[in-house]
Amino acid sequence: MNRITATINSLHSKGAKAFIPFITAGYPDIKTTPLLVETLEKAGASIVELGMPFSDPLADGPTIQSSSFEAIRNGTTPDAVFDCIRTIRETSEIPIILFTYTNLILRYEINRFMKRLSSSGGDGLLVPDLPIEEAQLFIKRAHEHNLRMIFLISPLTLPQRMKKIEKMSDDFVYCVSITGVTGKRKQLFERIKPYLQTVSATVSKPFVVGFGVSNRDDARKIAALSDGVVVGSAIINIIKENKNDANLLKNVRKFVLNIYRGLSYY
Amino acid sequence: MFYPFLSDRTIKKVGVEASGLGLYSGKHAATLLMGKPGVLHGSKSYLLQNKFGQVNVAHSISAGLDYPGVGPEHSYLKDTKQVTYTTVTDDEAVHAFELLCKYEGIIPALESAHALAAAVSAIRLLSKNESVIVNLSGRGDKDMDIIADYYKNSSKHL
Repeated sequence: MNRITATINSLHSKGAKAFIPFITAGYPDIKTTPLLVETLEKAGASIVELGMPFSDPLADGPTIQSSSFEAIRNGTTPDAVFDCIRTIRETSEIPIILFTYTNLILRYEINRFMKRLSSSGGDGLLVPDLPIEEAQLFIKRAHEHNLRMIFLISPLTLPQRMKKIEKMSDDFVYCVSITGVTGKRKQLFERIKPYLQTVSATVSKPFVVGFGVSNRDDARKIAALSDGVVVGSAIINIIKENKNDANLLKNVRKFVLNIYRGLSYY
Repeated sequence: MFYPFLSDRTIKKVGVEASGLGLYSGKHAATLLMGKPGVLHGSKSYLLQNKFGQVNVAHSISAGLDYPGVGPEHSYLKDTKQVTYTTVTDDEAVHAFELLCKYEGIIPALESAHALAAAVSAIRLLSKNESVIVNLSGRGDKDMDIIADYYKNSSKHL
C-alpha cells in the first residue's frame, strides 16, 4: 500500500492527528535535506512535505520564496530533488509528498516525472497551481506509478466545489487556511474557525490545514477541528536562523517537537 | 485588435514583441520567438524558461511587455500561423515614440511604440495604395519617468 494511504488510515483509525512539516529541498543545501527529514521524522512527523524549488512559487510567502530561490541558486534541479528522495529512502520509510508547480512537471514531461518520483521513493504530490479541471492526465499518470495526488481547497471554495475537489484528492484534502500565500499569521485560529467548521461539515475525507500555522497553540486548536496540520514557513525560519550553526538539527528538532507535542494530546 | 481581421486572409497581421536590449542579450521579452510552451500564473502559453522549467526574468523598457509569458491567444495565433510575430528593441521603440510625439503631438504608450516602430519599417516596403492600421493601445504619459531615465542614461536627446 502507498505510504501516505497507510499513514492516513492508521492515524484515522486511532483518532490521531496528522503532523506534516514542510521543508524546501536544497535549502540550505541538498546534502542537509535528508538530515532535516530524519530530524522531522524523529520529532513526530507523520508525513513530510518536500518542496521542489520553483522560480515563481505563487502560493508561497516571502520565507519559502527566498528558500526556493536560494535552493535554485545552489543547483537544486528536479533531478537533484529525486536523488535526494532516494537518499532519504535508504534509511527512512516516512511518507513523502512532493510539493511543486505545474511547469516543472510539464517541462520534465508528466509521465517521466511521475515515474522518476515513484522510483526514487516519493509517495505523492501536491501541485498548488494545478486546478482540478486540468488535472486528469496528471492524476492518471500519478496513479499508474502508485503515487497519490492531493488537492487543495481554500476559504473561497464553495461547498459544492469542495465536494468535487474532495472526490479527486487521494486519501485526504489539503485545506488552505487563509486567502493569500504561505507564512505566519496572527490569531490564525480565531480567524479560520468558522471556515474549518464549514469544511468539516462538507468534506468526509480527512482534511489537514496548512498556510500560516506557526506555533503550538494554533496547531493544537486547529487540529481539534481538523485531521492535522502542515507547518512550513515557521520551520524554514528556524533553518534560516540556524543554517550556519552546528546546532541546526538540534534546534529544528526542538521547535518541531514542541509543535508535535501540542498535537499529541489528541 | 487581430480578431475582427482574422477571417480576411488578404490582410496581413503582424504582432510585435519586445526584444529589449537584443534577442541574444538575455534581456528581452520576446516570449513567442524565444520561449517554449509552459504554465505560469495559471495560463499555458509560450514562456521564457530554462531547460528545467524555471522561468527566466524578462526585460523591456515597456513595463507592460516586461513579462516572461504572453497571452494564450497570441500563442494560438502564432501556432496557427494567422499572425506573423516580429520584434523591436528598446531603442527602436523609443525612436518611434519620439516620431509620434513630434509629428502628431500624440504621446504613445511604450507598449504601442513597439507596434509603431514595426509599422515605420514595414511601410517602406509597401506601395502607396496599401493601408496600415496600428493599434495604439495606450497613452504614454504613464511612461514619462521611464523616458526621462532613458535620456538621462543615454547620450541621445529628444
